[in-house]
Amino acid sequence: MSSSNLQSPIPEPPVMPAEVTIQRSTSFRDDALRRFKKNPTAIFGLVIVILFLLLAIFGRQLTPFDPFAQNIRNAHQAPGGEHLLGTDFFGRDVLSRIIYGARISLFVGVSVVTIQAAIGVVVGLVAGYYGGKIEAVMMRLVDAFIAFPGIILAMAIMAVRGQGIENVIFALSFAGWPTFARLVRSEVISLKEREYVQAARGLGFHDAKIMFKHILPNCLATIIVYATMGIANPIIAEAGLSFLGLGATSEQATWGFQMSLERQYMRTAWWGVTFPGLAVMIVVLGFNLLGDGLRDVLDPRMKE
Amino acid sequence: MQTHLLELKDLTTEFSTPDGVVRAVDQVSFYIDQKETVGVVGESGCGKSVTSLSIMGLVAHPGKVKGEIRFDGKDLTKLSEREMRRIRGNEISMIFQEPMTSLNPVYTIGNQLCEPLRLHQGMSRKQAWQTAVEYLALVGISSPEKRVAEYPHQLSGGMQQRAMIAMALTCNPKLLIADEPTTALDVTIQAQILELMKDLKEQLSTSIMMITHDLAVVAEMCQRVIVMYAGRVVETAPVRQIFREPGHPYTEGLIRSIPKLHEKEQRLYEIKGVVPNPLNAPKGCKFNNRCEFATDRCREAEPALLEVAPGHEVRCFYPRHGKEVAQ
Repeated sequence: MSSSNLQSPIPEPPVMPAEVTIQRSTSFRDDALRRFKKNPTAIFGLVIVILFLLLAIFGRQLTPFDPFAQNIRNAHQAPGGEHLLGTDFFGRDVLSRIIYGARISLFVGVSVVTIQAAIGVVVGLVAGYYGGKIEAVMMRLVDAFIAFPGIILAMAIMAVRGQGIENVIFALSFAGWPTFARLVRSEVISLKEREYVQAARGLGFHDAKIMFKHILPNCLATIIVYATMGIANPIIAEAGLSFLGLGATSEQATWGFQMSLERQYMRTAWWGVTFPGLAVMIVVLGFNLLGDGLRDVLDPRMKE
Repeated sequence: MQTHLLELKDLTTEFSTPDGVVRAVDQVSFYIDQKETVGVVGESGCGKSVTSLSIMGLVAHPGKVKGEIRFDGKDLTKLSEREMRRIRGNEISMIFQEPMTSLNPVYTIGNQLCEPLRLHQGMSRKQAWQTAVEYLALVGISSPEKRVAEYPHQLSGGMQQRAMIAMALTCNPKLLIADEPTTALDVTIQAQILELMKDLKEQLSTSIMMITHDLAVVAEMCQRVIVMYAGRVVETAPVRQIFREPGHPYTEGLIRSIPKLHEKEQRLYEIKGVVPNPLNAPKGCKFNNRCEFATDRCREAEPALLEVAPGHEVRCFYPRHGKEVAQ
């Protein structure tokens, strides 16, 4: 810097940053959208997620075969023939079952994250905002939850409550909310020192209004990013639980459940396990890429 | 004698820290009359801002407020949180130093202006929006109908501070506490904002407590000045008096350290040293370690705040101007 200043005898006209702010009439939303469009991996993730969402919504209309129609004579057909991805031990079409399973797997992912976020946000807001003893008690509870392996906790709950998708959702939500609480709390602690929070207090608003109307919207970006990336976790966990026989029931036919049924035939009929597994992998990849992209776009700390 | 709008009596605000109790504000007493502008002056860390937060009842958890804060006949320290909320933003409101961070980035200006109106005045959404536009026009924002729907980052710093002032004034408060309202703005905008505040004060007959470290702002705006040092009031006087005959060596130092255009000085005057750490303040007069005139007496005992001229009180054994009083 100093050397270039010495070389040019005439100082350059000063840049006026204030002017730039006035003229910048694009809103944050437009700005974010533009940056998102320039991010190919995020777009790729979004495409995957939308594709699977469509599968989940229109699943029943899109399946080439009835996912539950058994035909023992047709058992373990290799992929490529009449059945694009082959058939399982009961002669059911693997592709149809994957399409059908998408609905339940995505439903589990979205609902678990929603419940986790709802609990975690309230706990984190209250703990972060009030501080002191309230925070100490709440965060020690959170610590205790986090110290306990989530999947073991979920397994214990499943063992008590029995199989079924509602119980899977309950168990996974119960085990996973503390990470949200931590995330939100740390965000709130920094946000509550901002002057606009002071100003809101100075204007006579009560605590609940300050928390939910003034602080929460400002940490929404972080929550959205984390939730998007977080959807992958319950999908994997559900697959894991179902694989262990502690998850979905046979009518619910999630991807994990299909894998657990077919795993014993992996040597003779690899497609029964592999394709549901690939479906899990691709969905998780899609959500992770989308979440990564959203973070680049929404999280102000990632901006340079 | 009429009653004062705001009267502090022995206001003391303490924070208990692991290293001991910090007295950020120590037995501060002063008053503000109706339609009066009073400057509270001092260096960073002298307790100006904590005083204002104490008045608003916004001192955060480890802090304790003692003494009496009489506002409009009520003692604010005795009010419940609920009653206090009805006063904040309605009868006393506050403007902060940084306009950029004092507005919530996720809401439009209009949204934020409407909130106190709806809360304190019970206005409908439409009424409040109308009033918000009126107040934006009042604080001199051009095309307020357009600006009202914009987000804070779309306004310049000066406009943001105007919007903040509008927000503080929407409920016609009796007292406006301005905590260094112009420090973050550039000089031309500063002058505009001060002019605006003067105008509005006349129009709305509000009292202003102007917290600042800028004596030029005080000279421009205030009728009376309160000088604080290390949590104490060290001098209080009418504004002319304090510039002509400063009593406390600290006040004199502050005035001498204003750059003057017509004098050719080699080096600007500065008060040596820094504000003492409240945990480790000198014995006697708190200013004795920085004072050119300190004697053994100053290092032994702390002088009381005594009147040296009508309306002019000084906390010093050897006031620079005015008659020396027996301490």
